[in-house]
Amino acid sequence: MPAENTTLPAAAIPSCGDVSCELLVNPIPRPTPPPITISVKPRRRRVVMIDNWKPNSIEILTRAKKLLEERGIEVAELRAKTRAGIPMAAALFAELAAEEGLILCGISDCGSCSASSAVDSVVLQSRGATALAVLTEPFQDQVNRAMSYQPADRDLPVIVLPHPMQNVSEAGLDQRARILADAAESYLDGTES
Amino acid sequence: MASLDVITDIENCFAGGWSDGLPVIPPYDSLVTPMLDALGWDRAEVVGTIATQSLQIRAEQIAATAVMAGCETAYGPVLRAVTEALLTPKFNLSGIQVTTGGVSALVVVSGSVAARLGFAHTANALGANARPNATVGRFAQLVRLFCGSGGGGLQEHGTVGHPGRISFCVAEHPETTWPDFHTQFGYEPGADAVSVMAAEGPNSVNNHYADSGVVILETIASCLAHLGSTNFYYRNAGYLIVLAPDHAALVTAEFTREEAQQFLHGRAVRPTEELIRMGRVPVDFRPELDVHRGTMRTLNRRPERFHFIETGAPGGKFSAVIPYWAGNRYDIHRPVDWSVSGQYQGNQEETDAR
Repeated sequence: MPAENTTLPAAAIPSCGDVSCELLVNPIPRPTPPPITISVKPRRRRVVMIDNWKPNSIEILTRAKKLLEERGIEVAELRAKTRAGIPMAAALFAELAAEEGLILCGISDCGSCSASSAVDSVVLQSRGATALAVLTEPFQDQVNRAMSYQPADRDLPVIVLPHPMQNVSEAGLDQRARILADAAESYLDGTES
Repeated sequence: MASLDVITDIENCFAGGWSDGLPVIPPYDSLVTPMLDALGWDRAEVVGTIATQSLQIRAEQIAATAVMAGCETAYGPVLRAVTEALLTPKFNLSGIQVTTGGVSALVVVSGSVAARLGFAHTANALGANARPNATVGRFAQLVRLFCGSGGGGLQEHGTVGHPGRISFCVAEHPETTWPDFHTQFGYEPGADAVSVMAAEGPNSVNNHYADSGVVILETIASCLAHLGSTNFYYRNAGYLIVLAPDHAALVTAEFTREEAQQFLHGRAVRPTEELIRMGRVPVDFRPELDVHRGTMRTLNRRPERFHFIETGAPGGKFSAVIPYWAGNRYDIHRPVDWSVSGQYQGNQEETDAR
């Protein structure tokens, strides 16, 4: 379903003369994905983090990884997608589709990277993985937006961090890492949905 | 006097979100069908896909977009090449649509295209009030808007944008001093080609008193390497270097194009320490980004990413630089096949000659 503040373009516009109407030719293609079931609690108590090369993304992910490991949670070695502004490569999608842990797609603090992380999470969910986008506040609606045409049994959650993330202090990086680690742990425990 | 029915249809296109903010020609089937013929595509042909969005783009949607932009059917072969370039997955149409950067889908036409179809390539070449430039440039932005937004779902985040998101099309002079623009991408001199780039707005480069090409290039290098440049971090993007005739005469008298590229690559630099101090390169850099304290940092990794075009009017001592979007490392190029109109020939293999 589209986000509440999303107005989608008209699906059809009629043109009516004196005696009859015809439809104008629609110039806007629309996604036609098959229905999916959203997973928010992974089958395995493990976290997989995907970096996207945005400045400080890897800093926050690395600190969050350390926090989770201190709490006894298994965290895979950090992975990276090719670039922030495009979705993951097909090979990475295929590999992660088999992942039983929680996949964190991020961290995105811009328009193209947030859309890409949102799409990453939707694609991985469609393949049966438990994947969530990690976005900063101004971009948090992008997951709902990416789900505009996606039939699903429920909304797809997003993990939201404070904005900005690039020009922040050590304390700011620690704060964001803690928020991320807490959120990830709550999804592993099933206390966040 | 225009029919009130047509005015109503234009207003309905506004209301329905089928517009870029300007009035569109309503895409009546009676106009779309001849445009399809001009493009050389069957109506239901899938001409592009965005697989991660489960999105298929059909030929009639592209033809409707061309009509809405105000294009003539004579532009069909050019529009087809532009479409194929825009919908090449590596061009990342959705990223360009939603980025926080100010990015347009810039179209460059080169070869005999300008003369054949009447593209303006002298006065105000970067924003010409000529139908081919204005409508082909608008067509490219409408494709970005209509096909790159996930059916209107994805949220655009351009922080300030730039006027080229309405229309941005540049034609090279049919006769050039250096080899044709498209020869920088593997095409033969004398070919006809289109290129698309994810581009920021043009920065004017003024130098009225220089009397040598080397000084002109130094001035261009200074403009390229300003501290606000988006490219110092990733260093993947290219640049369109627009040489107008007066500056071009000085530069081409002293440099080959390859020499000029090398010159700019060496001169359009900033001290790495300064970039770190000014917040343009994060201190948490990693080895893959090749950030080395105590060195001069270039804007990109390869001199051939400075693409020169000869266009504009004589009489002014101006040039311009157009940075490509830092988030997109690919500009895409396609030949113009004048034989496509009226005869479907199938999709061309990707020939990205970056």
